[in-house]
Amino acid sequence: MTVNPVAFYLLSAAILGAALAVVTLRNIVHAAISLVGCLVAVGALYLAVGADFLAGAQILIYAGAIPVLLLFGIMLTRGSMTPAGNGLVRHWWRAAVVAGATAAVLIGVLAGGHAAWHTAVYPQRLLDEGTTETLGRLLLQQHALAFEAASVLLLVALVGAVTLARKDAAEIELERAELDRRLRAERARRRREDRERQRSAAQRGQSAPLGDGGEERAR
Amino acid sequence: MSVGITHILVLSAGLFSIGVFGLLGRRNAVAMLMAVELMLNGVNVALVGFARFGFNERRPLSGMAFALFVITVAAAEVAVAVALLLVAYRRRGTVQADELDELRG
Repeated sequence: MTVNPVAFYLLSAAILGAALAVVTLRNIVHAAISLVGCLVAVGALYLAVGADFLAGAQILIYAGAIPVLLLFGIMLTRGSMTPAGNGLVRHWWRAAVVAGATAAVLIGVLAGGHAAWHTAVYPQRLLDEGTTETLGRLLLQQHALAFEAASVLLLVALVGAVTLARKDAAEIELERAELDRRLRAERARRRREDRERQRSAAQRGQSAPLGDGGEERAR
Repeated sequence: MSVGITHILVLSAGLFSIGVFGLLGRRNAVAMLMAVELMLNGVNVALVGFARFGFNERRPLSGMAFALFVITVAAAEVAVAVALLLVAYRRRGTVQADELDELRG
């Protein structure tokens, strides 16, 4: 059973194109959205090679949860972002040289070590029934310890993230004082405006008969 | 020409290299985080390729299990990194990587 070449090449083009958009787009929200596209395409590639459970996890977690977190990060730190700051660094070609060298080394290793790899026929059973059962047995039997460690890691990381992002007592106090000051200033301004309105109304009340008198005099 | 392990690995290398470029070339820390996600995905593609084309009867689908762990760790990493960036923004008013340089000697 082989992978459909048309699907593979189309998905590869989509993945690489979206990835290039992620690293070059100046608008960071657009970059995040093309990251979603890239990750969905990777999920579709997993489906194409028969990794159905992994495709589901990829779409749910990678294409669903992680970009939402990143978008929250973008929205909350948006105040400092400028179009120039969101672009590439001034000497971006240095980054391109390093990335090109990385690609050259990786593909060079591929070209050199190709014959040494263990390749085997993928069982038809897994393509027919899906990978979920086998993967579940693997995770909860052979890798049970790693599985539990991963769940603890996730818990610790999320609690740590909340602790980090929470404002501490001093910051809350500072913000409350600032809000208080602003409210008081607002109240004082409104009182002053009221007083001025009353004063001008009183003046109009006095000046109205004067105006009438002026008209009468003119007549 | 049928798709084999080499095709998948070349795609993986390409995705990883694009991620390296983004990580080094971007100034915005959130964009750098996205580039890290691309690199992790490149590695995952390679792992799935090994699980699919280098099937091992004694340990079936270990590559896919490993990819699942990578996804888990990536979720934890993004949560912590976004929290760190939030704190950096609150304290320093910027998330540009080249302006967060207090440790420069």
